[in-house]
Amino acid sequence: MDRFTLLNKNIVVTGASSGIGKVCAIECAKMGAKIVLLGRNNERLLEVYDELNEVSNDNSKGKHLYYSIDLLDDLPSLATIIDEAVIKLGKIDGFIHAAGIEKTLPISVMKESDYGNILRVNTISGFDLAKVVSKKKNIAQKGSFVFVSSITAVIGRAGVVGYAASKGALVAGAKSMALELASKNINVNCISPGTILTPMMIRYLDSLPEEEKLKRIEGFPLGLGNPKDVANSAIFLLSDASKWITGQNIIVDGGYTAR
Amino acid sequence: MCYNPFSLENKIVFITGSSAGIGKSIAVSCSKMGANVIVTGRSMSGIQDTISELQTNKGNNFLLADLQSDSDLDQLVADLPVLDGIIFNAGIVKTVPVAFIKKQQLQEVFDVNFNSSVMLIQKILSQKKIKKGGSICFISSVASSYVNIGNSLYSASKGAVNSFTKALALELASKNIRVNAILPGFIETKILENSNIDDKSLKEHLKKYPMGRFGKPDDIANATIYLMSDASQWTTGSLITIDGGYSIK
Repeated sequence: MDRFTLLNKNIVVTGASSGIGKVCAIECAKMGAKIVLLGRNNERLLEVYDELNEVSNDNSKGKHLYYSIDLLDDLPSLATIIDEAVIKLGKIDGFIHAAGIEKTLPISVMKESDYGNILRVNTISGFDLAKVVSKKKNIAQKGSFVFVSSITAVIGRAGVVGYAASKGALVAGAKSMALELASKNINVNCISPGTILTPMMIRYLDSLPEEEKLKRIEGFPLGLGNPKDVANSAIFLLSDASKWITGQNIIVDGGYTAR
Repeated sequence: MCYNPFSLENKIVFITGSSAGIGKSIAVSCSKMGANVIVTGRSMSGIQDTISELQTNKGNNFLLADLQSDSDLDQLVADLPVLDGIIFNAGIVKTVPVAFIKKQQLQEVFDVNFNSSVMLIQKILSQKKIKKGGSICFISSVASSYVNIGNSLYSASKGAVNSFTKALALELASKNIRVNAILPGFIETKILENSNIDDKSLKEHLKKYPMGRFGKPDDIANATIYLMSDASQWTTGSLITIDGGYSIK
């Protein structure tokens, strides 16, 4: 049973105030991890923090941390936050970079700044986090970094040029990073989910005309996914059970890319 | 720990090629995670070792069968209970340059690595011996895409496994049965210890592995647990490479 546990591991989760990041944080806490929550919205972070304590065991209850940070314009704060987290919890065992913004727009109306913002939050902030966490003073004896990418990294979908590119960059970057950090015993992998029923996605799907909504759902042989499906995959990648997996992009998409 | 999405409690998992190496490790690991494990091999003496390491209170079972024999396959499937999970692990390696391939070798590699799995799953499906919501896992190989000289037959047979995995995933999605493959790199097993591969060439080969070690059977077994468990209930048609970074270098 032990091999999948996250007991005594300190895990940083970005994008933790909502959606996939929030559920990843909660599920990791259920597996025994102490969580450092990073998110934009302080109020919602506090809610997640309270939820973490409800599901945590005695070992980690009350020991989670949360920091509000806007990854778009406050990247330098990452170093300060991780420094403080290491002082309070001890060295970091891994992270899940789930922060992400999406813009569904044709390229005819996309502005240069749109691309820049998407890349900054979805991709560059994750790489910067890896830089900070992988420092000798911050990283445990072995580590695992997980980037939440997307199947748009490997398939084509109209209207998401910036988003798809930012997610594809995570997959490419993770391979390079995996080689760079292998000697530090750090595994680096991506998870590429299909359409996940987060509250934001449910609102978006409900806003679509019925026909378009059905078309989106029909692409997935097993139906649409739940945030927990991503979280469980992330737990596997963060646990000692996956210590020989590195540089990979694990596709969790209900069969979408099989056809 | 009481909460564990990777638990295999109350699941019946059937594993082919379970007498040694990766298959044995898979059987023992699934058993430790609570599964009722059914192992198979050609002879009792072959699988005795595996059976002796299984948790004893789960009603584990073994079925003797030669997967190359049609009548054995029929009997095997007739004897199987309705399964929650199947792991196709049986396989052989044959190193021969293309110019020297004999038809019989081609036949043998594909029979063991591909054809027998296809016929076995065909019979399991037609006899309704897998539950809705079940999970199927093929042990393929990183060699399916990253090839070595002399290994064409093995690589091609594993490539066939990859394509078949995706096709089967689509066919079985309506029954909510998931189908995935694991693509291991070089795994250190006892079979290797007894082989004539010398230390020097092993050391040379190790340089191709960024994580600094070859794989252990448990590295693969852990991933089969993930794929057999409810933790991966939305994962189907996926090929999961486990190779310590070999294929990205």
